[in-house]
Amino acid sequence: MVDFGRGKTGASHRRFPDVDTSGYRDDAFPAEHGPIVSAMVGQTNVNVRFFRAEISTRAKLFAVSTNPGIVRITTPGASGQLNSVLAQNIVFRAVAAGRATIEIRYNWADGPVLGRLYVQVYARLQVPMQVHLLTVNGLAQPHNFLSKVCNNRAQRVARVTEFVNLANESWVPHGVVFTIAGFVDTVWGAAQIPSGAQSPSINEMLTAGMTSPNRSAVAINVFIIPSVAAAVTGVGVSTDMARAMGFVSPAAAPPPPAVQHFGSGLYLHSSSAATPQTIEHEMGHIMSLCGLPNQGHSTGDLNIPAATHTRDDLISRRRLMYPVVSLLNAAPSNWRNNTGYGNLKAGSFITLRRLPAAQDFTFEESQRARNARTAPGFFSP
Amino acid sequence: MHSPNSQKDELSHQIAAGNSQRAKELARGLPADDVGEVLADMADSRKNSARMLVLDLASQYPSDGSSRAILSRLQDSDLTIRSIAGGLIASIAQKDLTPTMFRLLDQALDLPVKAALARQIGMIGSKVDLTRLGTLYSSLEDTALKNDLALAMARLGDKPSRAKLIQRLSAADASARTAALRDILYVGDPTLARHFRVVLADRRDAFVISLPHDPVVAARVCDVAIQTLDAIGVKLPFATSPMRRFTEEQIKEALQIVSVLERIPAPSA
Repeated sequence: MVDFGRGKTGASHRRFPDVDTSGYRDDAFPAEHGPIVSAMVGQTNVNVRFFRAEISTRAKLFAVSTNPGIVRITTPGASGQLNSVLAQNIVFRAVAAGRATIEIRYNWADGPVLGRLYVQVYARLQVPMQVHLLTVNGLAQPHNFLSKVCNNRAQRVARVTEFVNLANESWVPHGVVFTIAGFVDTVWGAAQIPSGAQSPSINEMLTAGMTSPNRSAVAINVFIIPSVAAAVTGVGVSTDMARAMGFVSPAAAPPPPAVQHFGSGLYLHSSSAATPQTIEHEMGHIMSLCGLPNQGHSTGDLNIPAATHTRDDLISRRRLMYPVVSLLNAAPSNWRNNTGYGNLKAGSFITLRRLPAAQDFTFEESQRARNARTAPGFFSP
Repeated sequence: MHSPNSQKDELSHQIAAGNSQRAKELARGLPADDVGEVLADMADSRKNSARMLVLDLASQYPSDGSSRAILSRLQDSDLTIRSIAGGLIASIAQKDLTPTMFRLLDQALDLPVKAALARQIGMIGSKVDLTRLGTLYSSLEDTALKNDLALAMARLGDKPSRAKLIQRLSAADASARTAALRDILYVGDPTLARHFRVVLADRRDAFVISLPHDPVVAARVCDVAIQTLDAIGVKLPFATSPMRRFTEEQIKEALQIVSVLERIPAPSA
């Protein structure tokens, strides 16, 4: 009778989070039936779109929070009465961590419930980043740096900061905030890339990342590489992926104080057409959204035994971790001209609901990313 | 010229102010133990930024004080700080901190953090710790944490725990076998190589080793076994890194080495 959706179309925006309508059921919360949205503690003016799908605009409807200590509705105001229109935004404030419901009630604020929007409010969880502005075997950063002319370090710092801030737009509603702990000028020379290549291969790049000077053990290492001998905009490698692929030295953890180094990190190709969404997506990999043993982006993508399944529906086309292999990603992504994030823009939908594993084990990305982030080993030396 | 004490005071001051750059400059000029002392003192600072900086410095200046600072933050009120401290457990090297780590295992910490503590006790502890680990093992219900405790005991030389680990190499499931190989990496004992015949003969795909956007390449159980052999110190006549599918010839060579190891009498514990 009523429905909910994102409060706007176009680019990701922290105050207009995606509504997960993919399941209407949740394997992790079997008692819940309905769409869900999330926000981070302290966020104000969070918008969701409310639709009268099968009920007249003349019916009096009220939006009521089941727990104003977690979710306080600010629009509509004190009475909670919704306007007599087919669609309007409900605006709320995320007060405290927890789960509450915005109920749509008929005729009175305590009338019968016609529909529910579940709201998960997350505590803030920072992901500090150590940004390495690299010089690789003498090759410095390009003037056309991340698709913008940058003539000096200050401009490059500003460009990366802008990208990281924009990448936060899709992750903040999940309580995940990327923060830049610092910029370092890191040099990769013969010790890191013995071939002397200025455009390292992917293998050389990950090996160099593993042994890189200035590597931080308490932040995600973001390597901004001037040139890569592969058609990539970015690569996100989690600690587990680095271990599985053998980018770890020594391979067996030595007794401390010796340190095991990993090739994990976010590798951004600064001469490429990387966008802030590259960071959003690759950080998804780092937060194990396509974790081992199946590194496909969504179910149907890169399944080891089958390798050919293709899932191509409205949900998978909107997902941040879209099935890149089975849905070809040829520039400029014409297969998904506009999935609600702007023309020729990829989607940024991060799923909240968990579906039964037999249906799709790649859902529940929001909580899985947070779990990965808080687990020991997320940051690696 | 500043005295070490005044430099330590200044470091405390800069940490309290959250001045990362200046604090790092000062730390570079001090012995690691002195830095650690300051960090241990500053670890319960009221400011989040100061506590974050404490952990950042603790990761760079391993010492007794740094380890104490890390352990003290495992129950921090801030989720970000708590999780960063959890990630630094692997850097704790001081054996005399194992009693503190055992105490923390009794606290209401997240299971992955407890698992990391258990494994670190296995890394830095000694046979003396086996009894306490065994008691903990018997009192727990969570199977994942029990496995971590069993591995810590195996690393410290507990025979039954090692036997169970060896048995897991013959599990029916390929992923269980690779998990056992990963755990052998932690135990790190090259004498376990003599039990690798069964995994070297296993050609089943185990997990993907290609990057997410590339065509799929899966490592087989035998490939993981070969890399594990190399990692625990068995000399192989070919390079094993980065991870890849090894040739039949290379698998045969590895098998020959294991055959030789099988003929050596088993070590007594």
